[in-house]
Amino acid sequence: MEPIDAQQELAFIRKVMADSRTAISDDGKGLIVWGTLVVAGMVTMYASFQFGYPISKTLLWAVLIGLGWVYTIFHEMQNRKTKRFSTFGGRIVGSLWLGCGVVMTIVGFLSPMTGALKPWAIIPVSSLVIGIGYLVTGVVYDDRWTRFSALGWWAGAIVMMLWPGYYLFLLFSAMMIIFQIVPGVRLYQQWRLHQTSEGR
Amino acid sequence: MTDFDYQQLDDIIHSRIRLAIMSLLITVDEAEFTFLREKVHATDGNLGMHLKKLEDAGYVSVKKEFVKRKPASAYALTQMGRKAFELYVERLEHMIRR
Repeated sequence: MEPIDAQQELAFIRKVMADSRTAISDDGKGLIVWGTLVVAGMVTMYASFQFGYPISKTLLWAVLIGLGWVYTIFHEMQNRKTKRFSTFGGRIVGSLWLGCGVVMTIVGFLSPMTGALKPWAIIPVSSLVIGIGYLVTGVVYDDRWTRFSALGWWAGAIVMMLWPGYYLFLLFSAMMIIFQIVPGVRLYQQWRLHQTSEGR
Repeated sequence: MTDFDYQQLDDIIHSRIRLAIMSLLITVDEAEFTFLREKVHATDGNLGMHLKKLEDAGYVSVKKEFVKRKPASAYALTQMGRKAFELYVERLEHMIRR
């Protein structure tokens, strides 16, 4: 075997590994669903405070977060039936987001009841937690945009902590659209393209 | 060893399909037969034959189960297979650097 053949052999290995990575990528549906639910909640909260619409905030979030968890559990059960491969990275990312979701659910529901956090502080704290999720996800999937979006979440959290106000709901919604829903749609399109190319 | 001897490349891995299988399995915990077939672009019989060879060498392990009453086989690299693949790549790199 000549060196040129060895190079071709290594190039072949790299291509197969890279091809496999594209198959590993997430379908993005979770990002879109959770992002849309949170934006709906945030806009409703803003309208309620700004225009004085009376709504039960606990009920609103119980419904939205409940819907999110129902979707996540259903999607995960479906995935387990149809999943044809599993990765260590995928398990890490799954566990990480499960942990982030549990933390935000606890913080979101318990802190207003117990007074552990000021109600407005829930949003920047959630933003900080989401930033951790995006940083680790970006490192595991080696995606620069995902890694950098963590900085966006943390910068937003700093702004919200320094200048609290009703605009927090809109700022968080904008961050959710830019750093979660749009990347989610991008992932979904890639995933669809991959599915189509494999004839599924 | 001063000069690189290409004959020291692992014969079990040194085949396009088996190399593709090993390269795929190194990126996952485990993968089903159908996933490997799509990625490697091989027929059932051909892929099965190469997987058997890797299995006999102790490089790949197989877990057979029934999903929705259909048989499904999940393949994974063994510790031995992982080491053999790393050594194979190391030797290719050594060959290029020579």
